[in-house]
Amino acid sequence: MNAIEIRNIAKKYKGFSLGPVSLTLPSGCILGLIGENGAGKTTTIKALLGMNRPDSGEISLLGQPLSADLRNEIGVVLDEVGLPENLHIRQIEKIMKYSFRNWQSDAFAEYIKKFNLPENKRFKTFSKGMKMKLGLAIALSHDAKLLVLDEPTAGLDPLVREELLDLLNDFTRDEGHAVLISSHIVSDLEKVCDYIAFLHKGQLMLCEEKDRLLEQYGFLQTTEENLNALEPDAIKGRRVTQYGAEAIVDRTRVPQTFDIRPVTIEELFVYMAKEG
Amino acid sequence: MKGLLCKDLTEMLSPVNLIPAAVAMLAGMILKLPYLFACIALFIAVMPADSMRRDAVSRWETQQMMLPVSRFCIVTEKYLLTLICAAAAVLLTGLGMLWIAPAYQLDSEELLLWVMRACLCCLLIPALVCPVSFRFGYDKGRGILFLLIVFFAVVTASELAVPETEFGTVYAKLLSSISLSSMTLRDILRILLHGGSYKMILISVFCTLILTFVSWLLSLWGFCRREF
Repeated sequence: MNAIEIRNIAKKYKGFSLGPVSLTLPSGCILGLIGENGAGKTTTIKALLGMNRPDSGEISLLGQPLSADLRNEIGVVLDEVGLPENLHIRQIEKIMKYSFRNWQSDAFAEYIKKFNLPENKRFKTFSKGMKMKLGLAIALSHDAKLLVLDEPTAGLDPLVREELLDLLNDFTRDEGHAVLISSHIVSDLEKVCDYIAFLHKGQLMLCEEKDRLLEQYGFLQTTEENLNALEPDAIKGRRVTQYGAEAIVDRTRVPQTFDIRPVTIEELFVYMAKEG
Repeated sequence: MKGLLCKDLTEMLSPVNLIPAAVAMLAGMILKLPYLFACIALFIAVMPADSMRRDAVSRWETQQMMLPVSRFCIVTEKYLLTLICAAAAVLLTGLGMLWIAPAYQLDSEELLLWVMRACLCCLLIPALVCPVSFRFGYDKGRGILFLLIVFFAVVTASELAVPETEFGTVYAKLLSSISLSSMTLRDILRILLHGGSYKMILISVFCTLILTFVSWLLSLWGFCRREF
C-alpha cells in the first residue's frame, strides 16, 4: 500500500504557484522533499494535511482521503512546534491522551526520558531542540503509521539532528510505517531517505529512488569544449569557471572515456536547481 | 473535542488567571461592592477570546489542526467554552450578589438582573469576536475585542457620569442624541447597566443567545474556508 499518493495537485497564490505535483510514497520508506526556501515544500505539506485546499488534484493518505479520524494514524511535526506555552509536559500529555485514540503513555514516557526533557518546566522555557523533541515524542506516541515532518532539522545542532535521523530509521523498520520529511539541509535527507523529490520554484523537478539517482547521475570535471561536445540531454546542470567546467551528467549518455565521480544528492540538487 | 476542552480549561484554571479572579471575588465579598462582581463577569467574558489569543501566540492554532478533530469540533469547542464561562460568571455573580444583597436591600428581581447582565456580557463578547477570529485570525478579532472593551468602558462611564456636573450633562445629552429606532443609546446603556425592566433584560439575553447561535454558524462557515 502507498502511504502517500498525490496526483496533480496545484495551488495558486499571489506571486507563487505550486505544481502540478505528483508524488507517491510506498509504505516502509522515507521520502525526502528537497527544495530551496519558498520552493513549495510547506505548501505541499499543508495541502497534504488539509491545512490549505489545492485548486486541483487528489490526495490520499494510507489509502484513503484525509479525515479527522485518519489523523489518529498520522504523526506531524511542523517547523515550529505549537503547544500551549504555560503548560508542563504532563499537562500536555493529558491533552494528547484525550485527543488521540491510540495514545501510548508508556511510549511517551520513554521518549521523554530518552530525550532528557524536563517534566517540571513550562513549554515556553524549552529550547528549540527540546520543543522539536517534544513534538517528535508526541508524533511517535500515538501509534502513527505515517510521519510528516516539515523542516524538523532546521535550527537543531548536529547531535540532535543525528538522533532524529536515527529515530526515523528505527520508525521505518516496520514495513507499515512511512515518513515524509522536508528540509533544505540536503545532507540530512541523503543519510536516511529512500526516495528523493526535488521542488524548485513550485515545480517538481524529479521524484526518484535515491539509489537510482546516485547510480544514474555522476559528477564530471572537464573542459568547456568537452562539455559542449556532449549531448545536451546528458547534462542536468553545469558550472563553467575560468579553471574549467563541472557538470552533473547522466552516466548512460556520456562516453565511458570520461572520468565521472559519484555525485551527492546535494550537488545534484544545486546543479539542477541552477539549470532549472 | 475532549482534548481541546481539556487544553483550554487547564490553561484557564492556571494560577495566573485564578488569582486575580479569586482576589476580586474576595474583595467584592468583604467590601460588599457589586461592581467588583461585574468586573469578575467581564474578566470571565474575555476568557474565551483570550484563549484564542494564546492559541495564536503559541501557534496552537496550527498545531490543533494535526489532532484527530474536525474543523467543526474546533469551532464548537470554543463556543462550549463560552457557555461554560457564562455559567461560571452567572454562578459567581449570583453568589456574590446574594452575599451582599442584605447590605444593599436588593430584592430577588434585582439579583436576577445582575446575573442576567453577567450572562449577557459573557455571551456577547465571544459572539462578536469569534467569527472574525476564526475567519481571519486573532489579529483581526482583537480589533473587535478592543471596540467591545471600549463599549463596556462607556457603559461604566455612563454610570459614573453624574448628571449634575457639566461633564455628566454633556455626556447624557450626547448619548441621548444617538438614537437607534425608538430608543436612545442612553436608554440601551441604562438597560444594560441598571436593568431597565426585567422583561427587557430577558429579551436581551434571549437575543444574545440567538446571536451566539448565529455567531457559531458564521464561525463554522469562516473557519471551514480558512487556509493556514
